[in-house]
Amino acid sequence: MNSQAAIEERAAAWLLRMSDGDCSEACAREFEEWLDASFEHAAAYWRLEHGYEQLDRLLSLPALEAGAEPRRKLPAVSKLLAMAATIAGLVWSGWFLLGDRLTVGTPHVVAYSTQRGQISELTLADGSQVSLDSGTTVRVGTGPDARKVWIDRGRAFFQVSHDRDHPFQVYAGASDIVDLGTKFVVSRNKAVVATSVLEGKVRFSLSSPGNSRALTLTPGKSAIATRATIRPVAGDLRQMRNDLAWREGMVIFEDTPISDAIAEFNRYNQRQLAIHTIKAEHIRIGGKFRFGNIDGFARLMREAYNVDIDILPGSSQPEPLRER
Amino acid sequence: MERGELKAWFCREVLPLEPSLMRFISRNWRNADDTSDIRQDVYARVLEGASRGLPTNVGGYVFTTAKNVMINRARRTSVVSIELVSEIESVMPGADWLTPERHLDGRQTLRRVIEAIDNLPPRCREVIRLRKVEGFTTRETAERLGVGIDAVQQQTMLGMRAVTDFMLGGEGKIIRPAEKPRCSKSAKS
Repeated sequence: MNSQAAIEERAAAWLLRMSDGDCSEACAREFEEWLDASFEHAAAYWRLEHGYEQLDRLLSLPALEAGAEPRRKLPAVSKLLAMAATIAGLVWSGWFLLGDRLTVGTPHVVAYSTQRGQISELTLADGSQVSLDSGTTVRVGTGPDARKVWIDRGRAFFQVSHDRDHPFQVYAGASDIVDLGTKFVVSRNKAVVATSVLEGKVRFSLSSPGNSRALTLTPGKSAIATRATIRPVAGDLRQMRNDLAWREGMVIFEDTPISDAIAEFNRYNQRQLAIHTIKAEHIRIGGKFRFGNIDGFARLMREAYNVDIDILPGSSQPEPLRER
Repeated sequence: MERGELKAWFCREVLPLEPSLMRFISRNWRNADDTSDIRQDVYARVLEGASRGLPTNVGGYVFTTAKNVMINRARRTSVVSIELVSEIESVMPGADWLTPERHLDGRQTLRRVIEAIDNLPPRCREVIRLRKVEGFTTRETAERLGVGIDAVQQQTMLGMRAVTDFMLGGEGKIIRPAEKPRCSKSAKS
């Protein structure tokens, strides 16, 4: 009685088609017909879709759930990434898979990751220090792979021990960051990588074949790379230092739209802030806050700005309405 | 009932019971190869019933359906064992029906995700990693790996099924098809 297996295979084929976005109207109609033909089809497809999409939901969550869409001009590095990356924390124990370039696997790589709301400091064998922001995963090379770090997701601040003969290298997706100096930040959300330099110099380059674009970044300079392009972005040292407040467990806002501030808090907390006041987007706030203290922040928003703000229990998925 | 509603109900109320359901099936059905089939049978019947009216006690409804599916199967097999049938009929719902694992905290769920991916065979794992973590399409993944689109599709589908099995409470073994699956012309690009 293997018909269920055949149905599951068919369901997987349909799911693949849908997730590639490769389905014309005619195709969509055929899919609907197949889905409606039997409850066995629906059971197989919905189950597969649900299970496979759990991965998506957990691996990346863009979250502008609080309030209105913030308007953006030229986004500074941190804002762009804060918008794109409310990243659920990961405990990644043993996945020392190869670098992004499919080099032959080496066991000399150790993975480190932080959960949501957790920050961490690593000291590497050469004395270099790596600070991990909430929801970050890096893989650190040792032995023959020393002075190499892969960043899979999140944000890390590097303070590198200088060694001219062995440059410190960070690999992030399709880009490489080679340290030529001392202190820099790398953030990554899937294919988007951002680098900012605090001290010293880094060479930020794309390593895809046929494309050897590179930028040298000096203190105060930032750039963003996708798979195909790399471009500088606005920012300055002061903003960069503010954006490093997470290392002390803080977030700093300066004339920040309230919805951005909320999104930032939500990145660090299981419990989520949600704003109900309709016209809140024009409110801008400033200040330095402990990102773990969302109750304090919510109270302040209510009292100082008269904003109707709620704290929802930890669930990253909006629940559909249920009858009570 | 509207299909979207049914699907939402199914994902929200029924799928979280999968770990309990699989345990129940395994305890009561000797042939381990049949458990996935039985599970799907159960889901199909649950959907059919629910489409006519949502049950108030989902756990009880799923459990009863599972019992009936297994009893019917036992009766249909040529080597029918009276003991098997009566065993199934006499089973009482276990306490675990009352605690669907939908409230796994974030940490545990994420741990499962990592385990799910970790447990895939290397080629499959890399394909899923490129698609899910890196966000590449089928074509881009094929280019990166230097393999054909067909191969990427194969690995993706295997990965989807294994990950789903694992995420929803099973072991995520890759089930290799005995022969190449014959997707109809329209399901391939």
